[in-house]
Amino acid sequence: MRVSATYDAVHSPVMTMGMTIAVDVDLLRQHRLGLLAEADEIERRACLDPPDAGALTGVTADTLEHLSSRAGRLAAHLRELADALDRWLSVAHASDGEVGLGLDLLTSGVLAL
Amino acid sequence: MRRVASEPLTAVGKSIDVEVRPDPTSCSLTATQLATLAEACERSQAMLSSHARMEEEQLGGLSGIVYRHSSTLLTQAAERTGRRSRRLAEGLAAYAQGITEVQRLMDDAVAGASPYLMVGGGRIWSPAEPAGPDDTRLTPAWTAWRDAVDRWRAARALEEETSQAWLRVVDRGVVIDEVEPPLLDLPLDGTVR
Repeated sequence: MRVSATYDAVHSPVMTMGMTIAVDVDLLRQHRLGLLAEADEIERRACLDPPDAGALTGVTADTLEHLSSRAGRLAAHLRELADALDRWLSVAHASDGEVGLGLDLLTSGVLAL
Repeated sequence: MRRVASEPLTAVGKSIDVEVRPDPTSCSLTATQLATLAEACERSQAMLSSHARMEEEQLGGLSGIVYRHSSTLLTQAAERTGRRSRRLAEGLAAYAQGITEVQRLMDDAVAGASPYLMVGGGRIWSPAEPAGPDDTRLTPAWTAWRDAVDRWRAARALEEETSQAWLRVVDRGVVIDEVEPPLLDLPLDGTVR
């Protein structure tokens, strides 16, 4: 279901300064889930079996280990961004009554995670 | 390694090592895994790239700027990791293919030598050199030995070439920029970090 989802929100304390932002909460929720799914997939695919490459077995294993670590860090960053989205939604919820009400209605599934 | 069925001619001490140590099957398997990892990174790259193009109307303000920036950095990280995986996948697949050909050449050397020469323990042993072309006992063995040596040289040259190509792929990764992107938290437009 795609909820209308675009809200003009005024946040406190900057709310008092008149700052307005638009938030497509439903889309952000999809982004978060997408990030987590991709993180899982990359982490799963980063498990590489070091081959028997004769005299080059050691250097090959080191290279693969390096790549696996790198992919693992990428997956961790994807999760960090997903968590950041989650935190952002939570804080937005707490920071403004009107926006909070909207977020609560639209993102209860996300906030409950 | 096959052992000659009939009694081999005298081995005089020279031998060639016909064992191929790398296992091309395991290399191919890992190359496939690397290609799969590359595909996963490429899918993530596409997704993150779309996140980075999120409209101001979908997430505005400083939060939107930071989110798009973080998504852009992660897009680049996914692209680099995917590219590296892809290059290693292709390099390792080429290595496996080369080693398979090396193994074929060595098998040919052994097959040609087995009827005439002592073959065992991963080696082909040389016969005594015939005194002259009229030596009907040693000349065929000597010819087989020389053929085996030629095939062995071709196989080892290909193995060296294949190994160097793989090492170039591996070495290239060392100089790749390994800087990871800083991941920024999403601010609530200057108030919450």
